[in-house]
Amino acid sequence: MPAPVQQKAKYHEKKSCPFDREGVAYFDYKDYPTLKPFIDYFGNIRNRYYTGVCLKHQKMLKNAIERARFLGMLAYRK
Amino acid sequence: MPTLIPSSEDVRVYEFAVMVKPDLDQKAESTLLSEVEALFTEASGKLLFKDSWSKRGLAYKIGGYMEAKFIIYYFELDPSKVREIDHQLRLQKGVLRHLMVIPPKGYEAVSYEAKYEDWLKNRETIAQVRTRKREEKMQQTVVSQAKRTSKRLETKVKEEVKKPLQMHELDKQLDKLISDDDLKL
Repeated sequence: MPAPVQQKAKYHEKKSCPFDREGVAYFDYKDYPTLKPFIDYFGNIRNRYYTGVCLKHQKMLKNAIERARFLGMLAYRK
Repeated sequence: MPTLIPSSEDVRVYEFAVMVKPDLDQKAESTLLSEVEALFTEASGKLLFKDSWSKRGLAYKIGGYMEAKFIIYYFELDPSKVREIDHQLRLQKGVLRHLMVIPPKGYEAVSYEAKYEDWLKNRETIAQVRTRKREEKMQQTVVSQAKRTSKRLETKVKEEVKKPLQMHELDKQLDKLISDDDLKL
């Protein structure tokens, strides 16, 4: 008996990291305009599944965002 | 804007962000800032760059204020004295919060206030973003539709070319079969 043909799941297209292209080495917590798009309406950090940021840059982003939150530049919760 | 490089191996570059109350008058503010700067000079720190921002709105209330003034200092300091300064800044009245960060190697100090204000002026409104996204989606659908129709046409043309050939061949094969003498029906 032939093996049943498995249906392939539809993989979502992997986005390339926008910071890898530019070679970003450090995120500044004072740089509001670059941090803003990675925060959703409620003030949470956007999942990298949706933004396409690589793990290395996501960790750096998280660091910068938490510093900015501490100084009141970004909201913890909206 | 200067790139921050420590002058010797004993010192490191530190970045201090100091958040000051917004409702101080000029005299009180200048004395406060001089007091803060005195903390660094006492620890034999060398000021590399100072960046003072104007009043800026906060995302949430801090110390009862929805606005604050930021001053960002870049100092060259002996690492052993940093802890004391951090402690003293916490005790300083008029300073709402402060943050100490070690910038990366070869960090270029930039005033971010101008960038922020520029962004505030030129940023897109929510409605503009919505229309832009809608237009992009429309363009994508148009492109994909055009692709699909062209593909369909191509396949149709191929099929049309194939069919008469197949019929012709079939006829030939049938003729061969029928004309075979061994065939007994």
